[in-house]
Amino acid sequence: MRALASAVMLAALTVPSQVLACPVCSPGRDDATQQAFLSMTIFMTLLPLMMLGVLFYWLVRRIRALETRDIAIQMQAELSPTAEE
Amino acid sequence: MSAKVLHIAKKMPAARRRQLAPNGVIGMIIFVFAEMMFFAGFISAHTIVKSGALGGWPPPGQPRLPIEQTAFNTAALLASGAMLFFAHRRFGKDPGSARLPLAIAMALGAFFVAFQGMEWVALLNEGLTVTSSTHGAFFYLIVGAHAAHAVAALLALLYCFVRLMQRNLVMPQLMAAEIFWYFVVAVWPLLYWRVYL
Repeated sequence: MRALASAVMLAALTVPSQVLACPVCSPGRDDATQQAFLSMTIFMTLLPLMMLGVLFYWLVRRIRALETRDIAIQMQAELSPTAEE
Repeated sequence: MSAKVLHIAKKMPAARRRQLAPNGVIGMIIFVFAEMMFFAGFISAHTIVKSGALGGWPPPGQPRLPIEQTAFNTAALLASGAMLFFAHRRFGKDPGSARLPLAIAMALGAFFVAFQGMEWVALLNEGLTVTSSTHGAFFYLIVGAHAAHAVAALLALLYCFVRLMQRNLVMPQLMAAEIFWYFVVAVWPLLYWRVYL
């Protein structure tokens, strides 16, 4: 069983064009279709990751902006004449 | 354990527990993310079918899409987005002064939708229907879905405009509607590129 698994793995590494995961997308299709499948797979994979990245970046910026504002308000309150009294 | 956490949370200063953004804005961002994947699926399917089409794309015997007229319409939609950005800036300084740019943004958006409707009528008369070919099916599905979103976003902007006239509009409401409209504006050039060109 282990020998069979090794043989399959070796085949997958040495003849990748013949070992395609999707039986519908690739065999018998031309290069343009294969290229479209590949590019759209990459697009659909990266898009949600990109969106989450943008959301995370925006949240980090928002947290920093709120912290900066809090510090400014606190400093203003400490420096105001009423605070000295 | 949970009681201890609650105790610590109660002792925290109020600023540490303040929300990062209004709920409406966060909700709209999540909705827009879902809609982006919705359109990405359409674009993906369209690209794959187009690449495997026999006899070229559009299929033989099917009418060509009006590229030039739609480019002009695209410019109107982009201008609408710019006017809404301008309205946001004006609203931050003086809410009353945002009326005109918001009205112009809505008018440009309505023009875009009306122009698309006229384009559809012309294409239907030329023989491009949902059942005439995969070209027609994809065209009406993708452009129609975008038009439906444009109408919904226009209604959101109209709601904001009415509240602005009543002096009841607050920034989170405007921002939520803005995010929706910016999505409609931003996704259109991509659709134009993939479907029309």
